[in-house]
Amino acid sequence: MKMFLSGNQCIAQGAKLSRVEVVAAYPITPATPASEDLHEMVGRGELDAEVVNTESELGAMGVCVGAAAAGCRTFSCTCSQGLALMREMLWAASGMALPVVLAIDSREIGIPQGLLSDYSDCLSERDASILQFMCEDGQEIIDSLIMAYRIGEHEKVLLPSFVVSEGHRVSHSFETVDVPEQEDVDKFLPKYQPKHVFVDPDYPMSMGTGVMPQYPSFKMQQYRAMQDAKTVIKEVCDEFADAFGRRYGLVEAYRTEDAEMVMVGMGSVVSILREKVDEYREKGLKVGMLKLRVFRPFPEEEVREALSGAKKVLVFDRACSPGNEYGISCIEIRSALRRSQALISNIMISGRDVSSEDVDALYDKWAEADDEYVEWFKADFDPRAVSMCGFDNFEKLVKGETVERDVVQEGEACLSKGIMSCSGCVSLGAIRMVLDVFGKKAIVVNNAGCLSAVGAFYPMTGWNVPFYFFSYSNAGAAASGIEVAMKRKGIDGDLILVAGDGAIFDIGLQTYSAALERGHRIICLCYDNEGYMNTGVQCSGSTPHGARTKTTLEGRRGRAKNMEQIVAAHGDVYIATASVAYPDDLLKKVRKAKSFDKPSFLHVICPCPPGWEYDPALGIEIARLGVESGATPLYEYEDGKVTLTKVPKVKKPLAEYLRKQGRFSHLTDDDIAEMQAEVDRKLERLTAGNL
Amino acid sequence: MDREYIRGAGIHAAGTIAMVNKTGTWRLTDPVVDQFKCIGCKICSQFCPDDCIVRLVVDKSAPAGTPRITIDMEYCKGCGICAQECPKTAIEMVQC
Repeated sequence: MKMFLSGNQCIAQGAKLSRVEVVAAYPITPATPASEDLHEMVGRGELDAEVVNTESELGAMGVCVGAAAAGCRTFSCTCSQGLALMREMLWAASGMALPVVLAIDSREIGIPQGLLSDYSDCLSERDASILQFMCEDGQEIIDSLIMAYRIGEHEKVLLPSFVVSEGHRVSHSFETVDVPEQEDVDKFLPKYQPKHVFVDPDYPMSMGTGVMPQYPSFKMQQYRAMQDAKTVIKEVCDEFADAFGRRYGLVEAYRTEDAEMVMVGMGSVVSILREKVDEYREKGLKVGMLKLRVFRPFPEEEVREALSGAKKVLVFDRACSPGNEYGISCIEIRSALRRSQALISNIMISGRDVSSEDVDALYDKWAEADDEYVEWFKADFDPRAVSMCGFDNFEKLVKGETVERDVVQEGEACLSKGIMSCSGCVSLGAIRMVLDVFGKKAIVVNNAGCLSAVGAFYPMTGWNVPFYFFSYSNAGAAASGIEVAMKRKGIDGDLILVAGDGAIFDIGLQTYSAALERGHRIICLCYDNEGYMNTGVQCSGSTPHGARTKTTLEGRRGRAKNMEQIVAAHGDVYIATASVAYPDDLLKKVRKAKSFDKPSFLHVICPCPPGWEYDPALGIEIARLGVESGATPLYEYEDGKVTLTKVPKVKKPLAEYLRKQGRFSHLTDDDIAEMQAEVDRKLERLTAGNL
Repeated sequence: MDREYIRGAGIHAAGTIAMVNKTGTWRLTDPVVDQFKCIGCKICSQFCPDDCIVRLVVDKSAPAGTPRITIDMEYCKGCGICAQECPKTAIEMVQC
């Protein structure tokens, strides 16, 4: 059936048609919409699968590996930092012979935090015994996903797969695709019934054990499985062509038969190269194109054959391997052509788009060159990076004028105007309020989240105080490192870890916990908007019971984590909850935290207009209702005792708070009555002095 | 000590975002202040998430209608929190 789909929607369709049984994913741009679609498909009853919202990508891959080890067909999608965080479990999947399939919306790995697509994420996993299918467009994504399960689950292969497409460039582009019929796919891809992995008390098996000298033997098995996969891929592609009429292979050699010059590429760049080949051929130039469709296993023989007559080869690379002169796919091409006389040049396109005119310019140089060369495409050093050094007046800099850098004055806001947060973002208001208590002494460490996306973007920054972003999962540890270094270097300042709820409750909990346990003087400002709002509203560990998000379509089941209890379990920590609607109470707590020589945890509930679905003007009113209804009580926790700091004279019904938010609009009066009872119980507990 | 950009994607500047991102262009409604109603309390400026409201120093004996606040329209995103929270309903959001 013809459908008009984005790359991410193709990922979801491909997974659905493959009848995946377990899906586990964690929000990350630009891959999130694919897992959101799968949630919707399950919600509509189109897909019978368990969808697990995890606390991190490492957790997502862990769930997939666990489910695959128990014999289920499993799926995840991610990219960039997410894939990097999964790394350990990727090796577990291939080591245990688990054919998990991951759709990768390739994205540049930070730092700096890139948003466009290069292949540094997937190609870094080159040696993890994972099949890698590099897709050009949406159609190829759907087809490759279906085939990836057939190939990976083949007894000779039993390896995980990446179905790689390009983040944003393909994932967010819409095109018409031919979506196969489910019954045809069912015939092509039968139910997964593995013989080698299962949970069976009558046939107990120990998996993942230690080995001593046998390690190379197991590694060799993976190596051979990869070699065998080439034959299996070719067989499966033939069968796929018979069943669905679209033919794929390890490579696509386009007009290479008599070509003297051949361009080599992977992914979407191939589309433009194919068009250019036609154009050059019309001019009588003997030019061809080779598309590497499968990167692992690397199709050496096919490459050698396709390039056998070429005198010149130009490899377009989306990822480099610093330390080696060539890009990653060029290294492989050179290895395959080691006995060839061809001149192999390499152009590093990294995350850049390549236009028709660009190819013309590249071609002209390549045609004239009488030797090999390696070149970076449009990656000249950005002069603004240098000119910003020591200066801070952007407008004058753009005009080329030199300005002495002003020192940030006492009393100046920590965060400038012009921050790109949504209109009515009270999180930003809370962050400003808190930081301005510290003024010039604030040193800010930030986890990934709304703030990291809106506060600074190269070459501009909104920060008037030192600001550090490291990664999503690691801010607790990195902040500890800064604290230790500040002591050592005698730097007088207040270290503030500004993190959202996802960052503290979920992905960053481990390193934050360790930082608390070690007792670093880190003041943690957790601006809690009760979900992954930066990636477009998904459920986090802090999302309250009943709230609708894109990954809890019928309202969240289960409960939000009681983070205060978790933090309190670490010992001597100053804990306080606060609300943007009560600035005096909030500031009092911040000043208290500032006065302590120990860690502090300030938990500020911040309504989010798009995430909570309300008119942006009502942010403060909703925050106030949260306190007045007891849904978000304000208290401090010191010396093992809770002290409520704002007790509403007349407690408002919870319904008044919930009914102002679209995310609770599906709740019935009975649901709310249940939630009211829970709120009452919590308040009772807090009033008695317990967390 | 010398500070110099060498490598590592650090932005050796401060507050530059304000010079480029004039978030006032996002506005769909303008806050309009009735200076006769405004009593110059700090509520709107405290709640403005974008730091766009400044309280002016005004003498108590100043005549009625003397402006007590100014709104930085270059950056105001028009969220309407100030109008919603004003205890004297001195701010109205007007379609722009």
